[in-house]
Amino acid sequence: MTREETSERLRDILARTLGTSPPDPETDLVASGALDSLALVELLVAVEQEFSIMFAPDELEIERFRSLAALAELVDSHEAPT
Amino acid sequence: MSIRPLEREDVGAVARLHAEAQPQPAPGATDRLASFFERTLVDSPWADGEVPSLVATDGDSIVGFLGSYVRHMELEGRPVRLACSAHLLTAREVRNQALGALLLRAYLAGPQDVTITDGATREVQLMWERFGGSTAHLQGLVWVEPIRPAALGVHRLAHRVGSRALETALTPVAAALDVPARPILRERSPAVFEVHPADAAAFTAAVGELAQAFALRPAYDAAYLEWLFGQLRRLAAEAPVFPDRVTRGTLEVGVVSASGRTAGAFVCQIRRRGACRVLAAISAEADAPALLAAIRARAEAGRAAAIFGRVEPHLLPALWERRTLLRYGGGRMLVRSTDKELERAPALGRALLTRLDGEWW
Repeated sequence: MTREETSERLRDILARTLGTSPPDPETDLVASGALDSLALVELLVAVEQEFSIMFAPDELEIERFRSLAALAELVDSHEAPT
Repeated sequence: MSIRPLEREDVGAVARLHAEAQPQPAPGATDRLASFFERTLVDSPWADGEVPSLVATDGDSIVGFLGSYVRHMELEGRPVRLACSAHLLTAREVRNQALGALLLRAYLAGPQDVTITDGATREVQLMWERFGGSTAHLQGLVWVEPIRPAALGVHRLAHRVGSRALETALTPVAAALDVPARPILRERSPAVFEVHPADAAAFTAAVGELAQAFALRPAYDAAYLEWLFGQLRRLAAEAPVFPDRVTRGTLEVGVVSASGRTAGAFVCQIRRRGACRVLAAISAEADAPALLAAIRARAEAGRAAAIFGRVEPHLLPALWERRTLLRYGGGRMLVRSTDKELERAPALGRALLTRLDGEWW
């Protein structure tokens, strides 16, 4: 899957879980107030289900969920062939 | 910001974080909290390096915390590692950064068999359920058995305003007010029983026998309970560690026998003119009437004004017969396990999980 495809799927998830679609992949979701604890839970669970992945405890850093671009990078790191 | 296990050197910073979250931290509370966290999270005989407490850090600063209390249980003979999550908090300056959710998610991903929390807020409940856990609603109820309600009201009022003189002055008035209530509130149970004071070893032996009625049950050892009872005595002796907790009474541990056999076991804290707080009331459902009558007898002997305990499924019919009052305690018991039989056990009444196994402080 290309980064663009990952980003598109994530954009749909963000729209569904946060009710917002960030205008720019670098938009800070925390600073914009879109991502509080409950919203992050919704997002985490939805992303794990959508991409059939499980985030490891050491990946649970807010910086990795702060923007669509950061999240796409995190998801792609799970999907990258080893 | 990242998440890592709590280390001994962190307890002071964690205590300060906790104190800063309180509107009016009591004088000396931070030192007492640091000592409490070190004793119960780092030095507990059941502290488990594989299921550690977690801190969230921002550079050198600790900005989030989740306490981990591991319990040894068994499910139909199979060892079960239960993790009780507590004290989830984040620093004020990062409160809008979803750190609580990340701490909880990291903790739930640990190697424990089942995770619980005992006094959850609505927000934690929503996160917990979304992460796949469930709520044991019945255990969110508190049962109350008034003995001398006016005396309890005066005790609580005096505690709130911090005046023992007020309590002394109002005690005769409360006693007079309680007289008409005596016939209504007197003990009516016909149960015949004996109460034997128990040490950690005797309590462990009694629970080993009584807990056979439950699929999921604690696997206490006397050394752990000796330590736990020591912590409870220490908390009762010092000023409150947590601002929302009133001073606890004298610890009483007992085994109840009826018709020559062990019928129940209990742990409670009895405060003269105040509350008898039940931390554990263990029996088969059929023996609960004798157990509750025994607790009432000890509460009256200690001059407590009311008894408070968490509703447990095995106590419910006896509580109903005794016409105890039920109120919603505010804190929710949440459970999560990938083994759904394990997760459902508390809600189905198949688990013996008392306050001793959760937030006993």
